[in-house]
Amino acid sequence: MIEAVNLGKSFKIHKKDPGFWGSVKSLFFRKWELKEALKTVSFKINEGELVGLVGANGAGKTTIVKLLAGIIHPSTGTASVLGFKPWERKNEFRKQIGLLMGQKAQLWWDLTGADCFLLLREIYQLDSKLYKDNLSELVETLNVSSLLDIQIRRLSLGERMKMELIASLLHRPKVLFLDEPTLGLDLTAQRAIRKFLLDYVAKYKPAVLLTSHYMQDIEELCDRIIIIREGSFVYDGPLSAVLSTYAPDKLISLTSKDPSSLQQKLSACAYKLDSTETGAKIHVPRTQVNSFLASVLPQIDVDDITIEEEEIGSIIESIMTKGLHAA
Amino acid sequence: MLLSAIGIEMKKRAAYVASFWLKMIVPPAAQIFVAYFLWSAIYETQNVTEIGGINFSQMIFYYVLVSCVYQMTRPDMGMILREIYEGSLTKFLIYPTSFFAFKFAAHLAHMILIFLQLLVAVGIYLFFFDLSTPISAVNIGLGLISLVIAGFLFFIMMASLELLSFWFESAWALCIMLDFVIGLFGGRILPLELFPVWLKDVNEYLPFRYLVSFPVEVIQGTLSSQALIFGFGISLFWCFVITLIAHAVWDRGSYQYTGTGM
Repeated sequence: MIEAVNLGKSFKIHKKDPGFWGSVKSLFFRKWELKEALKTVSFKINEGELVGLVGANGAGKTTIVKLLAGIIHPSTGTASVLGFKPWERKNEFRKQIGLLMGQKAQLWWDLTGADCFLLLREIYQLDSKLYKDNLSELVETLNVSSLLDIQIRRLSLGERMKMELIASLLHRPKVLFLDEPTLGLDLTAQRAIRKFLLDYVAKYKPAVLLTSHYMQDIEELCDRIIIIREGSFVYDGPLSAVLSTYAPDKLISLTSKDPSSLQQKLSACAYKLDSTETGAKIHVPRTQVNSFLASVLPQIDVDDITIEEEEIGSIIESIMTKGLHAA
Repeated sequence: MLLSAIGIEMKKRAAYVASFWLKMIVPPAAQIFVAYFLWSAIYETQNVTEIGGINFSQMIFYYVLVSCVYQMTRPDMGMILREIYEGSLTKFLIYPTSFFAFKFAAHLAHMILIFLQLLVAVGIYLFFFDLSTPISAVNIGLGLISLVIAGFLFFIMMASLELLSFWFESAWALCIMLDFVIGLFGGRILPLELFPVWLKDVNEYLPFRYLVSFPVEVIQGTLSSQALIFGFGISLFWCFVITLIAHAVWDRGSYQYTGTGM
């Protein structure tokens, strides 16, 4: 459904010195800088697949979404979405994609949701029955029937985002781009949107590319993630493999009434050891946890044992900001 | 789609009830009073009954019509420029519809609302003055056609300039300059009858006259059949040429678009 080959994008950016004189100077001499927002990347997304694209601000996530939705043209490489080159902006292509931008309202602020959807019905030339069926299903699932007659600008952020979701799904797109769909929402609204998306993807099987800064979104929604850093992919694979690949150790915490004796007995062990006030923390490879405990427990006197998994969110954040080696 | 977009645009404008009614009543009344006091002072000072062959009540009627026609045919300046500058153009690139058709529908909705203003203005005029020459139904029909053509021509001229904001942040200044040129050569500031003959002749081949003055002349019935055919021909010619230019600028410009703010 989506295929990108060596896709890259550079932007020419105008640089201006600060202050009044900077503005005057820029009237006569313009400084331009070429920014490589996306170095060459290649990937595929299949029908029914929900892929999370994560990266720090400016990493190139939104550039990928803009390229695949046909908003901008690439500087290098090519892409195919549903067999179309997105930037040719053929109507047949645009009728089959949906885009939700968490940072940018798409609906008309002075209109009610009902009027916005009617206009979208005309834009997408939806058959009357299909429009009614889709709208009533979306409105019921998102529980917004009482909000349809209220101007968009009078809705709360969470309510507005639900309306935006309806707008992007009204024509039942085969490919969906979700750019920060839960941005700025409270926890309840985030949960509602996530549940809706999971159900929707399971039912209609669109190919979905989701960008988000919230690790909760990624963990709950995506089986596959792409981590992007400074315009290049640093990871593309199953979310579950992130733990085994980039967090090979589990953290075993041992607590004792006599921490110093515990630390002394463990000092000879082969794994990395951190001393704590109440005992010690040992970084043990995930495949060695059982054998390690079996070998040390008979020799030491412990009050409590906890085995911790490093949080997947913090591993991803670490890869996003510092790269693979740091993770 | 066009009709639906017009309906929606009218709903948007009607959403602000007080502003809608104020805009409907105040500008036409203000235009008539300003024109009345200005031109009565000029006629009295000059101590004449006609200027350029136009008597006082004709002059006031001209200004009533010209002000309303100008407001009607002139698009909401910055409508396209803002979309590009603020990045809200993005949604139009996603929707399977023509950006120009959508924006022109919004402009048509604006024209319909201002047309209602024009009726109010004519009503106010007729309350104080008599029509020196009656207006025929044919003139009104042709006038409506010329208004739609003028509305499109003004829209597409302004759009071509506003699309330059794909490259320049200062496209706004160009739009203001164009608006001034149209005000002058379109006959909004002064009736074109008062221009020197050579300038009037040149102006007949330029697009500006057909944006404001021409529809007024058509409604007033001051043009011969030959002048009408010539006028409609030239305005359609400019519509065609400037639409081609606008599409070329759009193709090049949307290639440059970066989708700011997303």
